[in-house]
Amino acid sequence: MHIVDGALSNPVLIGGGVLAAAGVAYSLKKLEPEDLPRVGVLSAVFFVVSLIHVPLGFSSVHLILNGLLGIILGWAAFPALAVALLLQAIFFGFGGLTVLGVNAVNIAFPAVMVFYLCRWGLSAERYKLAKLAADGLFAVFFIVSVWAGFALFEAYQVEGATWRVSVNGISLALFAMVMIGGYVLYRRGILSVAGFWGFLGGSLSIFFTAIMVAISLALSGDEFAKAAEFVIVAHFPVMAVEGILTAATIQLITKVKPELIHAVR
Amino acid sequence: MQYGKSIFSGLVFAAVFTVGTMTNAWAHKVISAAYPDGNLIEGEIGFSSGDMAVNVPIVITDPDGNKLGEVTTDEEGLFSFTATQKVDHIFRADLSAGHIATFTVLADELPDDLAGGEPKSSVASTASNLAEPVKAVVSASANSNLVVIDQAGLEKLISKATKETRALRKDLVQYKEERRMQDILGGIGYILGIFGIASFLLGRRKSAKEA
Repeated sequence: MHIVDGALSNPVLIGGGVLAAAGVAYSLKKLEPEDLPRVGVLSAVFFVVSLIHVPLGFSSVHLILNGLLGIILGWAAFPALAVALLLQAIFFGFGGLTVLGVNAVNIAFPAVMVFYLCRWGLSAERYKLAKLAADGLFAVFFIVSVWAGFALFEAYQVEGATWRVSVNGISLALFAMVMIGGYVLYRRGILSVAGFWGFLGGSLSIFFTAIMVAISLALSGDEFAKAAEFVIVAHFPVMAVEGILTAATIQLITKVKPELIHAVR
Repeated sequence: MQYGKSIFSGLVFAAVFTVGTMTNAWAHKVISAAYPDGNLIEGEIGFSSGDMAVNVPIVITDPDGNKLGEVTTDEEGLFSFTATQKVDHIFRADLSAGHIATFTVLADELPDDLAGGEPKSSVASTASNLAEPVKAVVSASANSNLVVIDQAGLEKLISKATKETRALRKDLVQYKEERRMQDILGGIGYILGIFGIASFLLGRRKSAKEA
């Protein structure tokens, strides 16, 4: 998920840097002082969570939780992620200083997208509409992601290297299973509407991030299909796990401390 | 309700299973290192998770960007390259998906008998360069009470020392890549500190406005 120094071309790096600076500046302008402790804590959460890597086939994946950050922080996800990424780059040589802007945009922009998507779904005033929209969003997301998985799966099989295909198959199956399971839970009322929006937001943000990483690699000359294959397929398990985690977190927060969520206020 | 609960536990199990089956490891990063031994440069490319980069082409250039050669890693992520020039060797491997390994073997680490920039070196002068110091050692030690070592013995000793250095270098690279608990705690501390200062400054500005 973190692109390293030297993998991207200069125009992409500059563009990413400008976008990230703009995002941080805009969110700092909107930021209220009393929001800051929350931003700091979630920044630390991201810092730790994305350091724990799980090897998966050729690459390795880690949790990002940008959906959770987006839902709770809104635009403030930009400074939170920028600070955490900066420290990761300095302390661990993880990512890099020149790609900081691109990485920040790739992770924070989907967070803000998820914030706008889930914002009114979480504030359950128009309850029925929120439920309906959740169903619609679920259907679209499920179909698109599984289609993307299959398309990339096929594209990959042409190239050969059989052992990774099975990994792709397993991760896709796991993702589909978790998505269906989440929907069933929601239908049965165990997962609240807010929790289900969290579920969608958590996995959608990873999906967006994977697409944005693939796009930034493609803009720098990597073949898009290949970059997308690596990034998107590798993140199907992450999408599943983050969906569950975000759903559980959001459901708990909406029950015990709803004012914590920026999207609700 | 009961049915739903079992689904939920199933989901949790699936999540734990996903994370658990893949052995946990700290940050994943491309690790690469090269160990020059005479004019032979051996090296390895892998990930900090322990996976090695298999069948990855590596392009070797000098600092000016001239291509010196190309090698491919084997099944264990190892490669070897025979240097023909005494210049900085820059190794670059594209592992795709945003992973790039670059590392440099400095000219100082290569033997002096390689051509200094010119591809064709005079073999004769190289040979005499090599032979003379050994002779000198032999004659000097013959006069005193030092142990006399012939060339074969000397080479054996050198290769033994090189092997030990290489093992040390590998350990050093590994040590550098390790993420320690205090690093992570330090990072969290920095983050909280930065936001603490930011909140102090913002709060002060706000209260100044109100006043």
